[in-house]
Amino acid sequence: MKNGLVVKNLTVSYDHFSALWDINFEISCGQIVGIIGPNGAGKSTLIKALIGLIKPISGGAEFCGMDLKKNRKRVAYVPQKKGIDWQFPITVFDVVLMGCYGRLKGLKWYRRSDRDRALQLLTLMQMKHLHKRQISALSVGQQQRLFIARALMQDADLLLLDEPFAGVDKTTETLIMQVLTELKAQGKTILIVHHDLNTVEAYFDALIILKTSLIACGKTEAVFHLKHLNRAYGAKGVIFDEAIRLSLSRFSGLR
Amino acid sequence: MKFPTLIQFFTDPILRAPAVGSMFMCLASSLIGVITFVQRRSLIGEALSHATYPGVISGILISALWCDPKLSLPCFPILIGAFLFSWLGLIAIEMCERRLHLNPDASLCLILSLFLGLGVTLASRIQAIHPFWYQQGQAFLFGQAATMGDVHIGLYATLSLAIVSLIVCRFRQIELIYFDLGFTQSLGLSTSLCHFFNHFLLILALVIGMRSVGIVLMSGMLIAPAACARQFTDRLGSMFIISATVGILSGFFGVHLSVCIPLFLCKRPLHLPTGPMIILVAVLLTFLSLLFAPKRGWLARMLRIRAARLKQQMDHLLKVLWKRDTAQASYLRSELGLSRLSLYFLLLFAKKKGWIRTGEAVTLTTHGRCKGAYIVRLHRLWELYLTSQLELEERRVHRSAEEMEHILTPEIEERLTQLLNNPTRDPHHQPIPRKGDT
Repeated sequence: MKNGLVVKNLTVSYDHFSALWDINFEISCGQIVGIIGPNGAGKSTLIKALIGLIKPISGGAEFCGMDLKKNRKRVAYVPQKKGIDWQFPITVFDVVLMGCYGRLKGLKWYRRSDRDRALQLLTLMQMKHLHKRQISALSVGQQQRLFIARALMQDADLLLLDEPFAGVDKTTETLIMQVLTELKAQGKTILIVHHDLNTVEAYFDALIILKTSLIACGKTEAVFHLKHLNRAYGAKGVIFDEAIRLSLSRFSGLR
Repeated sequence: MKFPTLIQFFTDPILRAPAVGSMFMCLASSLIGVITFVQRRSLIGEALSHATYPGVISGILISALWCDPKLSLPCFPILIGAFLFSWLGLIAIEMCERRLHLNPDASLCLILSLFLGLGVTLASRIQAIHPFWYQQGQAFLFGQAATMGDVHIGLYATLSLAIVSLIVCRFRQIELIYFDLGFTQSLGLSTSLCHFFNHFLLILALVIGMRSVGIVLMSGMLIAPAACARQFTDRLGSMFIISATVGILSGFFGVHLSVCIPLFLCKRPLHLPTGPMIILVAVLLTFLSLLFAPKRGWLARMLRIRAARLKQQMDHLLKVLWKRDTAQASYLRSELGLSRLSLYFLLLFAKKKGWIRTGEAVTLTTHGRCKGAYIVRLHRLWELYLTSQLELEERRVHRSAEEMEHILTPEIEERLTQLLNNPTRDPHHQPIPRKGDT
């Protein structure tokens, strides 16, 4: 299959332990794909290896038949919030504009069309009125939307989001999912590192279940069942999560 | 001896070189300082400037072998020596952090003392053999702008302008890389080249600044203008511009004061040391901006807090008076929990606004009564909203309403009125003042 993301024999290790062990999977274009697994399963590592923040020991990834390393302009990356220096002297608008840095030539001045596009994206993310703010003056949900706006600015075909829904309220989560679904309709491929098992079925077309090695990869309805979750989270964790899920759905039904 | 005018600092052949030279040096270091400041690695300047010392001494040693001591101080071997040793220090620091896994601050400290120790050892050796050259070397420790000549201006101006133009050209790259390194790498850009480049500029700025400010105080000249600029802006571009301005100003006034203060105090053409003077001016400017900057400064913050508290106290005063119509000052004091003096000022302020009349007792004017009614209306509307819409218990809503009555805007009041269908009674069965009364 030349028409999607293909990961072959990907192995990553930090100093003395391996974070990812021989990962192989294929994903066709135009899907929203969730990456789930327990803490320390290598979810973020997988994303970082894909965009080249970490050098894998072996293997690599191809996107649409081309090596991802040589194809960086087609990939956009939304980092985890904790890695950002929020006190940095930069405004919301400037952060979004950064998204088109890869396309700039020469002295790297932004063009008028870039500015217009950035404002447009901020409007889409319902943040236009904040565009002159310094980034530490944003709420957590707004910070996340800001970085998604920057990724959209990159105009990439493959989007990699590292825990976009961590600490974000429900309204923002819905807004982000709405935007991502629109992108999917345009044929873009979106990979999301995700934690909340309750929303997995609603959000994702396909799933990658990780625990250092690949446990399962495929259509959500085919992959998202207890057998695989047991292997990823261990039996104890799954029963707990299942109970929580049951109680949540029970109570939400009452209200 | 006459006081030199400001213009003479640019024309007078003796004053010209230190003044203009210092301005260029401070320009360079204040620009680079912004980069280290936003990187949160302020101390790297300190470590690297101290690491130049053995380089300076070796430069002097080399010139002592070839040069005629009667000539003025040869710069090139010293500058090159300083540059090389500073670079060596940088490599050593990075080795300590990356390969030996030492904390960043510990490795800075370690390398600083290692290089300074090396320098002092070398210097003491020179002191014994070449006392003259040793004296010359000491000039670099604390800076000696006064002995600069026109040649120096040319040299330092070229270096400073090179730094300025390189920063202008690579501004977006600097912004990108120091804001979000991971994102930069995900774009497939080489970050190590950019780091190399910025370190090159940093060391260049240090070497340039050494001559006027001195090795020991150099890091202050990096950080003070940047910290000052951060107070005034939230954008990296304007931060560079403001920092450069502060740098140039402190460079000029440092030299200016070092000439004028001795003239003023003892009427003799003495010179105070220029380097420390420049630093003092820069640090003074920084502290002033930390205290008095319009938005982020200490004073502005205090005033904001004070204004909010005043509004709160005023609202309480009007509310208490609205409920009783007239009250003695002693009653108000115990009710509001204010000291005699604060109450005096509060009443004075309210009187000035035309809300109260004072005499035997304090009474509300018509205007004040409307104001009081409005606050009570907000309070009770909010209580009703919490109990009826959000289903909170009655006894728990008072505290929240106490806070919200100072905050709610007329628009929210309007929406609450509509939502609650223009109510007349609050949850405690107290009447809600009608909109017409407020």
